[in-house]
Amino acid sequence: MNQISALFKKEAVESIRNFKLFLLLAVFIIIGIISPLTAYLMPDIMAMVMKDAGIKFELPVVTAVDSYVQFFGNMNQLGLPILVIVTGSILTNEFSRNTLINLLTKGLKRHNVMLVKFLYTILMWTVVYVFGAVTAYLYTIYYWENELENILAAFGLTWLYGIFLISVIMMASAIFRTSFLGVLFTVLGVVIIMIIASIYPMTAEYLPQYLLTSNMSLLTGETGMSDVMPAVLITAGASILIFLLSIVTFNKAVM
Amino acid sequence: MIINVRELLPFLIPLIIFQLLLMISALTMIVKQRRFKYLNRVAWIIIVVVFNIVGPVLYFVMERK
Repeated sequence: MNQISALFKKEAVESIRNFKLFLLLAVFIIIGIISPLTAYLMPDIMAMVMKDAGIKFELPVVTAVDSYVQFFGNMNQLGLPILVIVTGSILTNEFSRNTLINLLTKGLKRHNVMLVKFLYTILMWTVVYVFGAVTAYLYTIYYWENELENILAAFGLTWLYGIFLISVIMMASAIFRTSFLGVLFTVLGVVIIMIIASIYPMTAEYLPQYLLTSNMSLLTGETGMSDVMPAVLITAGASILIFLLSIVTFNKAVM
Repeated sequence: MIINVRELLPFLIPLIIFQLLLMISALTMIVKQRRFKYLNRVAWIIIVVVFNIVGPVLYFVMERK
């Protein structure tokens, strides 16, 4: 317990000193602002494009749903990649600079290192994601104020997917140890495999990737919570399993 | 174009503040930093100023480990 709290403090100080927490916070709040802004400006942008192209049709009225479409789109294209790039080096840094060896030989348990790194990254992700989501939510209710269903659940899906990515980062770090690029490519590979696998409708509903594609239909009420439940359970289970496997791998690793 | 800038101010002010915060913090660090792993000072300053979110992120990830 003592080791865990000391390591936690170390991680907290480190993330503040090397500006990673601040960086993630700023990026996610910017995403939270940009998304409703894009939705708000969309009719004007479309009108301009259509005027140039000589097309004419009635534009649908922008609603709160469009704001969330933008938010989740930005999250997938900007937020999650930046999360992986910024937090991906959390373990590889320690290995490549050999900063863990002294602590480990003095009796620091290896599984404690993994546990704290995992939990702290999740904590960091949760905090920055909540800031981004709340920003987007506040702007959306201020400008459109229509109520949507399952809003917390829809936000929660992307959050859970982030945790899954973090567990993949831990696994890849335990395997590659010093190579940050190895971690990046592993995460990329896992995501690409999931995208390819979700072409088949049979498997699509059970993959973590399904979480990212179904948060909009949850908001509009097209799908209920029970439809995404298999994917949620599988993602949560897979994250825990991958994390446990990464501890096993790290325990066997030669420093 | 009938975009009313005053209507957009609640969006734009915080957005500009956060982007400036990112840029200025990256710039002060670049100026203080003696040795660079990749590129040099001028190149980083240009990258951070030109690419407004990606630039600072790249700098923090690549130069500050």
